[in-house]
Amino acid sequence: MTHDDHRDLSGLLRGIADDAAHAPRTRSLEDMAATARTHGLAARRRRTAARSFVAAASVALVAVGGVLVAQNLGGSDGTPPPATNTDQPATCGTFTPPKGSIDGLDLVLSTATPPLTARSLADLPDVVAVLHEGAAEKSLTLGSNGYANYTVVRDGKIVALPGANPEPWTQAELTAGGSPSDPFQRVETVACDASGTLPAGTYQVWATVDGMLVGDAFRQVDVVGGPWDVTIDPTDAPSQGSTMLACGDPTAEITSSTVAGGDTVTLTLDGTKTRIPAGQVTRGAITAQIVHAKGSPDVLEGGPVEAYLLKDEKVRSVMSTEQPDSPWWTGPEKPGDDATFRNELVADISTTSCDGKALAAGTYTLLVVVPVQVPESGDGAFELVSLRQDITVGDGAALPTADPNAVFPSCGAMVPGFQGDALEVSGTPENTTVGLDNAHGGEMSVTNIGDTRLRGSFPGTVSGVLTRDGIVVGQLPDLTYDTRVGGYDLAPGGSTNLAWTTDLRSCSTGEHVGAGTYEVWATATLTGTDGTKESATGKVATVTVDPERVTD
Amino acid sequence: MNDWAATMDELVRTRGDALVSSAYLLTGDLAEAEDLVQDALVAAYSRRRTDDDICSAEAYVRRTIRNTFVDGFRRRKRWAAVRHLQVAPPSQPDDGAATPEHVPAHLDVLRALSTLTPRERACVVLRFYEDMTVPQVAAELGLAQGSVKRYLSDAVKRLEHHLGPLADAHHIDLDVTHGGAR
Repeated sequence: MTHDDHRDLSGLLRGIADDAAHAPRTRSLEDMAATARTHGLAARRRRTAARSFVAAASVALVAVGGVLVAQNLGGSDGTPPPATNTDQPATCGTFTPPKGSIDGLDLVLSTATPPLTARSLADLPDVVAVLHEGAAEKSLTLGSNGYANYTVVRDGKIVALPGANPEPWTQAELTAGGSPSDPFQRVETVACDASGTLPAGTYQVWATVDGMLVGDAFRQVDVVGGPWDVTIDPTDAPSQGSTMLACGDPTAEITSSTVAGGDTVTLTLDGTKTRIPAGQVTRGAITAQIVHAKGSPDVLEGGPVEAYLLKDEKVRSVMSTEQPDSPWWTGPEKPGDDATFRNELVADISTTSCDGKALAAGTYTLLVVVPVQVPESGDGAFELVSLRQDITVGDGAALPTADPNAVFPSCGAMVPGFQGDALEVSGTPENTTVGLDNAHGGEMSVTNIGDTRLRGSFPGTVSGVLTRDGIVVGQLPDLTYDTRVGGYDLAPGGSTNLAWTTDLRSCSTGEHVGAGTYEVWATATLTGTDGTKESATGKVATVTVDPERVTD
Repeated sequence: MNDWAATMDELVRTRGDALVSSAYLLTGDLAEAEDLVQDALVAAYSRRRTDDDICSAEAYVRRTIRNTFVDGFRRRKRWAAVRHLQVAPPSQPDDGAATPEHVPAHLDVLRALSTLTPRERACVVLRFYEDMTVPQVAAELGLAQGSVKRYLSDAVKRLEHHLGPLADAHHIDLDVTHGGAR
């Protein structure tokens, strides 16, 4: 299929949906209905129990003088929190340590390690459930709404409590001594104080999950973790004033200002650095251009330039750079030599993470936002949002950015996706972690997915590239292969393997790439006995470069 | 069994495949699609008490699927972290049966869809698969019509970057503005 054809999006979507409707399922419709019946009824039972608990708790609160605002126990819409037992702390100013229902089933910190710091209650560490080796149960399935409740204690008294709980359903398969669950989401933690915040200081944090053992008979359980000492320091947050985004904010929904999207004013980042050191502020790293479409009439007043480093579409660092001679102005035509009128801006990037530490080396996404407003207009404020751009922090070679004119497998080209009519390319192991020396090896399979026998010489060519976020960022210069001599003979469904090794280098610098996760895509071309060529392109490995790993 | 549960059973039996297909367009992964439908069915079984007809039940489940996808999946940090890695199809089933990801003609479309944000993807599915108008999409997702147009515009632009021109993808107004008020 080529880009020369005008394809019908509706038809393509219907084709995919039809394929899905007829694809083999991991579970039958009957199983899905049975599961929904069982869990649905269980959820009803939990809510019924919760309402009883809330009613009882409300009565108790009135009795102790109403220290806790009632809405801290129930949602604003009246939705109660999940059921819990009476051992769980429930009121401000008192505290009884919670106790788990099953020995050896606990909540532990997901990735954070002491000493723990947080800027606010919204910044408490993630937790996961584990079933410890030697636990009473050898394995179990823990169902819950996927959210952990945090209780914050100081001097033996509760100072912040969980707010309302959402009601999705998720479950984790746990085995004794095995892998933990996925991290739980965090229920909003509400300070007991009317200010809604906690003063700086060190607190003890407990996490609880209201769960349910899934099996022949459902059994309600409490899973508990903590206490952990967490130092809350509001001043740890970047002192950048009001920025559009804050540390930890998700950014997947933020779209860039583009002419195609209807914007008359856009923001480009030509000349911006693609590699900066970790743990500091790089002055002048950003060069941004404000581009006014032809006919754009407005002169705009601009604010500080906001620079965000993103990882996995989440804000990891924030930097706001005031522009000199503020207020400054921008517009399609510069009036004379007015120094406060500009269409090119310079700004800084911070590579200190939201927790105050140096960002880990690797490739991040740079997003730049410039707030502007129509002067003297109360409702004309909006943001210019740049296109996302890769930037390398710390060690490792700078990576190329997307080049819309490049054709795969050239540097900067978009990965075309899996291709091949008669052949399919795959690789093992699917995931590999290597050190900074970037040595890497694997096995690549070329499979005949057509319905006719393929015979010929092998290989015609095998080539590979390194990609990141769908962009070709590196070549595999030392690609070697080892296969049978004397050609290939592949019946339908048959495959042949290539053992290969390589190192991983940035195609913009030729140096080894830095820390991060990459994909290796390969194209194999076979030459048939009649001279016809069959080729396939596919992902053969996901490679994580870990600076702390020493490759043998 | 009460009437609502019976209605739900009939819905799963008669429309289950369609629900999974629709969810698959959102997730691009069959197992995730099944999870999404499963979650929606659990919600439907647990929350509804009135006796509705099967059409109302299907509308409720579909809306739950979309909302869970747009809101729930966005909250799943782990999913967001690995989403771009999920483009690769799973290994071929042992029995050799074809899965949607193994139909070559659709691989590039699935990959292109995977570049969209959840909300963009939901807009595309409602507009171009379920043939809803922009006002209907806006009502379904609780968005302003202008936002829907913007999501569709951005989505189509990105899809065409990967797939080339799409003949029917410009039957939407593109008079959208970017940059929301602070």
